[in-house]
Amino acid sequence: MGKPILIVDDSSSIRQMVSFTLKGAGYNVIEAVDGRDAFEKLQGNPSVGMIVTDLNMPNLDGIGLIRQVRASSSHKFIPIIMLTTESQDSRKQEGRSAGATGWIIKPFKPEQLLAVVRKVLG
Amino acid sequence: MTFPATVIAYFSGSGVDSAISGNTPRIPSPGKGDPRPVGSWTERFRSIADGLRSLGHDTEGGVLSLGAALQALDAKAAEIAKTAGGVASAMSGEEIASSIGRLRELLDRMQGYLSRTDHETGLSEGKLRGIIHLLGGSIECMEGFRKIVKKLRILGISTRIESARLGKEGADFNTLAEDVERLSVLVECHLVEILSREQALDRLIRETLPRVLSIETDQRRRARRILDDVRAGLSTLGGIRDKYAVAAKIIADRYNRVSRNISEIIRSMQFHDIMRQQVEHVGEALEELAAGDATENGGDPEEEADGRNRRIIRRIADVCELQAAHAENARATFVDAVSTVIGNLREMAGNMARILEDARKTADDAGGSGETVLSEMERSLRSITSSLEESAGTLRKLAEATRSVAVGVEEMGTLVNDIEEIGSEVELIALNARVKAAHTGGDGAALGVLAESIQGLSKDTREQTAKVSDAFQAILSAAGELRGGIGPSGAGEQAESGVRGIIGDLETLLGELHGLGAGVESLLAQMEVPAHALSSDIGTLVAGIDVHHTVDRVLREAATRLKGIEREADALVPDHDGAGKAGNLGLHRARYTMQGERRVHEAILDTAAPAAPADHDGLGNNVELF
Repeated sequence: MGKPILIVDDSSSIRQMVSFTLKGAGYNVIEAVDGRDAFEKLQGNPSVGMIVTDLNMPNLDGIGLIRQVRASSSHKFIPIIMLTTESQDSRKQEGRSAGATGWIIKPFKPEQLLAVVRKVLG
Repeated sequence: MTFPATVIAYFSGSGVDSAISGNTPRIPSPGKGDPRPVGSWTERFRSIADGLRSLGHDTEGGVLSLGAALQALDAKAAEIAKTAGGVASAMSGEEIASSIGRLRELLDRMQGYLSRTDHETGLSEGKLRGIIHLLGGSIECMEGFRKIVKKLRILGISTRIESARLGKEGADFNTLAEDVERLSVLVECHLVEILSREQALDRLIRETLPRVLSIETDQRRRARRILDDVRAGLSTLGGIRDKYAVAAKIIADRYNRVSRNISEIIRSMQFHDIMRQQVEHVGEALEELAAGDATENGGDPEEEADGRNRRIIRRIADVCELQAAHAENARATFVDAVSTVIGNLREMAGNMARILEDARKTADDAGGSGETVLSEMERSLRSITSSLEESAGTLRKLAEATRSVAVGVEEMGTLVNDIEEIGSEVELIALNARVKAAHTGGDGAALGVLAESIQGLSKDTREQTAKVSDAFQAILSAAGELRGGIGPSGAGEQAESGVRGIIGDLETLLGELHGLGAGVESLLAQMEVPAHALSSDIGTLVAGIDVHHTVDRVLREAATRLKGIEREADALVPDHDGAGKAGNLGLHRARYTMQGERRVHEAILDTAAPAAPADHDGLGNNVELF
């Protein structure tokens, strides 16, 4: 169904649950273990339609990933949803300034994630 | 102040203040439940941190296995629910709607058919009564012939007497007398024959009429029964559809509950990652303590060593209290999340079992006899078929009876023709008599009178024959209509053909309903084994979940050990007013990025809990779209 969604999280169990939720609703999913891995996979998959990323990750964190993606020509306008345990307003503001489309605090309910994805993808 | 060995080792290990190391150590009594009361605080902080560091990694495998099993279960549950939904929707959907529509159409056709047969029998009865009336009229006409026969006999005798009186001259009149007598005999014979047949026909009709009336009564009774049966069938079919529609909704609701179970499990599974991060933060705080960082925070450089040590010990007590609270919170939250997972898995098994029960119950007849609703439906439809066949049979018998009447009337028509010929013959005889009377002259005057009488009689015969003929034409016409109405090419045949069509359609409908029932059975059989297997799989999965036991044990132990150190530190430097706690724990707050952690922090400091964020987009207060 439509373009694949790139999910980025260093936690295997979170990737598993996000993937389970999205695949169950018919979306194709590509997984990445950190920001760096995600950016590489994004270059290899120009059809990716959306990114759901964690904030705190090794190598390249979520904010760093957003900045790199927004700076790239190919996926400059791709929707990026931050999915994190961080709930501080200052961090949200940081994400927003970097170019995040939305912010979801873990734990999410599957219907919340799907509602956001549908709203963002239209 | 004399510090115990554990404290001295802490300060020695961290190289903070060797001034106190020369004091004689006093090892405090172990705290109740403290698993490791002896040893340096530094070692104990590192030991606890080591135990926590690997907790997330060590338990992740179990969580991932649980997640993989959950995905497999969800796929199976979705498949079973789809089949169960198919059972109900098969009977509540288009096929039943179509059957109900066709049954309604059949009902209309039956009503049309019964109206026609009512009309047919009404017409038949009227026509048969008309024939009886006409027969009565023709019998009266026949009475006129009796008078003619009587007159002919008298005229024959009179002619013979007159002929004898004339002697030789009247010889020719003997022949005339014989002709007249012969005619009287002939007319009488026909009269007897016609009367006999009329009586027979009258009897036949009078026997047929009650049969027609009885058929009519039967048909009306059957008509009511047929319509009642059809209406009952329609109501049964509508009832089945309603039941299945309700069942489809129940099954869909149950599957929604299964979906909610899955949703809740997915949410709960994320608490492993949350617990991991929280435990990492505890580990970081303990590493800092082990590294002596707690002593580096603030303090007056001119402060006396004893005072500084007291302040450090107080800080250690406060940090241990906070970290024990975090460990306890992480433990309780994760154990609660796994309990939610287990509870939802059990509920899911229960919901799946109920889906199977609902589907089976729906497919079975709700009636107390245990027979299926479909069987009742079939009986109703067979009853309708039987009623229609009987109705067609009675209509056939009526047609046969009216055909017999018509044939009898046609045969009498032949006899009437014979009488018409007799009338013509009487006229010829009359003419002949007048001619002979004229030849005889004055002596034949009497014969002339006779000839006139015969002439008059021929006129009467003609008139009477015309009356009888008209009466029989009317009877023939009525019989013809009767025969045409119910005969091979009439409305009776059309009605019978209609019945055959209706019966054929009912049989087709029955076949389709049987097919539908077989389809439902097949779907039930398809879901039975996987549904039981799913319940069994969930049972096995639940029995194998032990990840929370490990987390419970490790974090409970860490919290207990931290509380033990807190008690040791508290015993050395009691906190009289809690004034320094905020300062001791202030920097730790920056570490707590999760709302749950901040709540724990605020609870320890006894300050207001952070307000929950607002729900910006109606997607929940944990979601915000920019």
